[in-house]
Amino acid sequence: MAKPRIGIYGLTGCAGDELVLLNCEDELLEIVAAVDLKSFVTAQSHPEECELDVAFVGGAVAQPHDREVLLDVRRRAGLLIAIGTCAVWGGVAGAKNDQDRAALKRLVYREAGYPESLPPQPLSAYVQVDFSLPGCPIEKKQLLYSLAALLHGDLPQRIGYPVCTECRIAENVCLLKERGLLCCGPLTQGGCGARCPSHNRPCAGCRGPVEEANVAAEYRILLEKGYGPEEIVRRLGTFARVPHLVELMEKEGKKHAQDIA
Amino acid sequence: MREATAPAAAAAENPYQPHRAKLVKLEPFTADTALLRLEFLDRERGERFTYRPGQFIQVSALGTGEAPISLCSSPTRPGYLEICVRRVGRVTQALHRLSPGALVGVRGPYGNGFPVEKMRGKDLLLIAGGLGMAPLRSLLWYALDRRGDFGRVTLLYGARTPRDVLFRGELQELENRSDVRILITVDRNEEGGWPGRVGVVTTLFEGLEVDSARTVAVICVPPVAFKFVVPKLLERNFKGEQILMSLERKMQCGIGKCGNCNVGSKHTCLDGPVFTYWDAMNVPGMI
Amino acid sequence: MQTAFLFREKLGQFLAGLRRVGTLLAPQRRGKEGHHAFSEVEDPQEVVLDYTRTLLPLKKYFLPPQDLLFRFSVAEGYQMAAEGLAEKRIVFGVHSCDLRALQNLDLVFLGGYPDPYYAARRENTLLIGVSCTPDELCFCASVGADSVTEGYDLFLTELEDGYFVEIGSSAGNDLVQEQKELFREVTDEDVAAFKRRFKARHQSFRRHLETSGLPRIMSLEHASSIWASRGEECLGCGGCSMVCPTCYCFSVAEVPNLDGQSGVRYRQWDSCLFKDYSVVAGGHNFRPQRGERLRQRIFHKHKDFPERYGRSGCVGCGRCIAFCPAGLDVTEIIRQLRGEIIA
Ligand SMILES: Cc1cc2nc3c(=O)[nH]c(=O)nc-3n(C[C@H](O)[C@H](O)[C@H](O)COP(=O)(O)OP(=O)(O)OC[C@H]3O[C@@H](n4cnc5c(N)ncnc54)[C@H](O)[C@@H]3O)c2cc1C
Ligand code: SF4
Ligand code: SF4
Ligand code: SF4
Ligand code: SF4
Ligand code: SF4
Ligand code: FES
Repeated sequence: MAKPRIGIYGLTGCAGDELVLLNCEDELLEIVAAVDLKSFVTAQSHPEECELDVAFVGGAVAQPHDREVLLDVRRRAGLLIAIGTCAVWGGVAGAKNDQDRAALKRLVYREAGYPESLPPQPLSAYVQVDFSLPGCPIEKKQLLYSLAALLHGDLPQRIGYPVCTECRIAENVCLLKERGLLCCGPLTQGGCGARCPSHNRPCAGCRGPVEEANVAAEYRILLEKGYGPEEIVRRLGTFARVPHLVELMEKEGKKHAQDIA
Repeated sequence: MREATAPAAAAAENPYQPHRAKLVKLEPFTADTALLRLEFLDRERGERFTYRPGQFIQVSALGTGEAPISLCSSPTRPGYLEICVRRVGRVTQALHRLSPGALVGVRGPYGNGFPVEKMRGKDLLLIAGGLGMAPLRSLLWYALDRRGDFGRVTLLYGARTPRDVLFRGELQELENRSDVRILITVDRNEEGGWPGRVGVVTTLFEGLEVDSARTVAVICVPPVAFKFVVPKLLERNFKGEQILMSLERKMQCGIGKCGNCNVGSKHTCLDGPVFTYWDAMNVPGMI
Repeated sequence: MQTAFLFREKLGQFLAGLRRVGTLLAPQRRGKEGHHAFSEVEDPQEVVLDYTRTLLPLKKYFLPPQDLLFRFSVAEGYQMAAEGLAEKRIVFGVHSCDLRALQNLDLVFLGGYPDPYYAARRENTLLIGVSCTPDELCFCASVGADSVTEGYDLFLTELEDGYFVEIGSSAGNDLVQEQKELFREVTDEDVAAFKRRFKARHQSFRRHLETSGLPRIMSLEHASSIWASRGEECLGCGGCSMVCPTCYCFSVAEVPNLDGQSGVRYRQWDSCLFKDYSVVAGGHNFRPQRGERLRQRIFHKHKDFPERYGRSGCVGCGRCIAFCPAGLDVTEIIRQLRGEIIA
């Protein structure tokens, strides 16, 4: 069987997810032997831009150029896998998408100006994504598993449980319930082994929302613990400002205001 | 001190153990459904493997995982197992990728299957929708191979389009037999070329003579279709106990451990997948 | 019932002796502010006897959160992963609710098609129970799990100057005989003290769950609006299932190696509170609403499991109440169902 042709691309982001791959020292040789790596700009000097079996794309779409690259990769790739929270959810860069773009640009780049920017969006805003590997950065273990599954010819299995599930298995104290901290664990896709709560730090939600995240319930719990509405929305949306989830929080906020009135 | 249990002994009777079977034939039926014929590598295991129509096996695609699939062959024709697999996800796709000669894992048979002993002497009214034809093909063969044991045998089968009719050639041959009634309908016939009926499976009830007093009805349809089919039987005075249904649930173990298939106090994998309509009336959420 | 009396000051020595028999597991504190958790004992001094509840129950030793079932390869097919199954272990300091819960798991995993992984671990593990003092969340007495007469090798009840030891098996008797210098015979005075202690404990339960006719009432309340409204509060985090000593649902996953030729199949804890739990091919979900999933959990404990296995599916350990980030409380929901409180 011919080795699968792979391309790895980075749009606007920190390239942290591509680094995770490069950091798989023990497995790197095995990976390179198993695939036909056509393009990996971060690590390779002579990319070949051809038809691909699988393309991994990290980073958010934040410039017209990103969009062009993405559309081109999508056309060439059998499967397109989004890697990293920026690619899956828009990431930190998208946290301010509700604010005026021109004003933001002035604030960030001052007088220097900046060629052109788009409100940072996940890949799925432009193209069909076949599988998503969230994380900021992605988890090495999940990356290796996903690679192996893809090499085997299968889409990887999705993670359908939140960080809390792994946090309970790790027998951590619940920072939300027992310490009253703003922990995004209940809403965040698991897979990191509850990395932060295991070090006594609340989950910041870096893997983006788990499917059917009950943001309204968490929002209410946090209000009751004394957090302010803006802070909650900001913290829960740091890595993934998903419009319909923000809406749910706002709706819950109104309900709560009525209840206490 | 108690003796430590020898792992070897445990392995010998590990109910999760997939046993190797060879894919001897893969016959595409439709764009997404194929018939797979399997034979155990261990001949003796193949000979010991007995089952009843309506039971299922857990099929492993090595490296991808396991899925419950109904046996669509009949125990009256031993020596091999047949399954009809629709490509919907990881495991079913992996099974479709295999070529004859490839090995798969098989364990089972599981589930209660159809109560064929109790059905003896009765008329059979089989109602299949979509992939539900697979377990009913097993029962149909069983009944035809033991023709004397049963009264009238009728199959009502509804598929989405003419291209989706499973076992088409085989069923067409049966249409010529006088000791079985085969009625097939398709939901849509946009491309033309279908000589038979067009309409959902319930339209096959129009003008259908059944003597409900001496008939067992067996329904294998997608979950959403039960509520259309069951009233047709109730209208004809079928009692809850006379209506058998084969249900689908998420399954991981097939042997009553993993919980995923539970409906009320029943495990679909052990107590089902065949239930009566009376069960369904008493267990909310069953259909 | 064989009995013995263990001198208080000899407990450490007894524990040290147990370490010679096998791996000793007992409740210890995780960090300064952490929970109690069953973990391997290095220093008998660290073992805590007066804990309320460990975060994870005993099931983690018999049905680990991730449990390797098979290794596979193209050449050999699936080979049972049996390592570790024969390890000799002793779990010390188990409360009666947790012992009772293990009996529930036995019904599931040793009945029907016996599960060889569970069975081997169970077979090779000795259990030493210890008496406890209920806190405001415990309601084991309401579901018959406050006291056990079987399912342990030894059971220690703390009295003033030592431990009243009930011997539940011949393996338990061996443990006593091997260190018999640490024990003396039980006196009439000990028995009287045991009875006093038992009575005091019985009177100290503050939480109660009325279970009479519960399956029948639940069956009438299957369509209650309570499910949808309480379901909206549930975060779907699955925490309640992870910490519950009687939850046993699992899913199975296959992880290939990069060579595409080999890999492993394992199982992992699952929960009926997860959206994916009841999804079948084609995307049909048999429990699409959160309320339906919450109902599944409570029905399974208090109706479905009892109907199938003839005993409560809940042992009243209070873990799901103690650890639910949304503050859901099964005893309150059941009172609501019974119409005793209106929320
Ligand atoms: C008793 C019984 C008998 C059966 N008999 C047959 C039979 O004879 N023939 C047959 O073809 N099938 C049969 N089935 C169904 C078969 O078991 C399933 O189709 C199979 O398990 C699917 O497994 P899979 O790995 O291919 O799909 P999976 O990859 O596990 O996906 C299963 C389904 O889950 C959903 N899903 C998966 N990923 C996602 C996602 N990212 N988002 C949302 N939803 C998702 C989809 O709906 C998908 O179709 C039977 C089932 C039972 C219980
Ligand atoms: S600490 Fe955070 S992640 Fe852990 S259980 Fe509590 S809410 Fe969930
Ligand atoms: S605990 Fe939360 S913030 Fe930390 S790595 Fe996991 S998902 Fe990211
Ligand atoms: S622990 Fe609470 S919030 Fe989490 S799933 Fe259970 S009931 Fe819902
Ligand atoms: S349902 Fe709750 S109280 Fe009952 S056994 Fe489980 S965790 Fe303990
Ligand atoms: S069905 Fe739910 S409550 Fe019952 S054992 Fe499984 S996870 Fe626990
Ligand atoms: S499939 Fe596991 S209990 Fe039925």
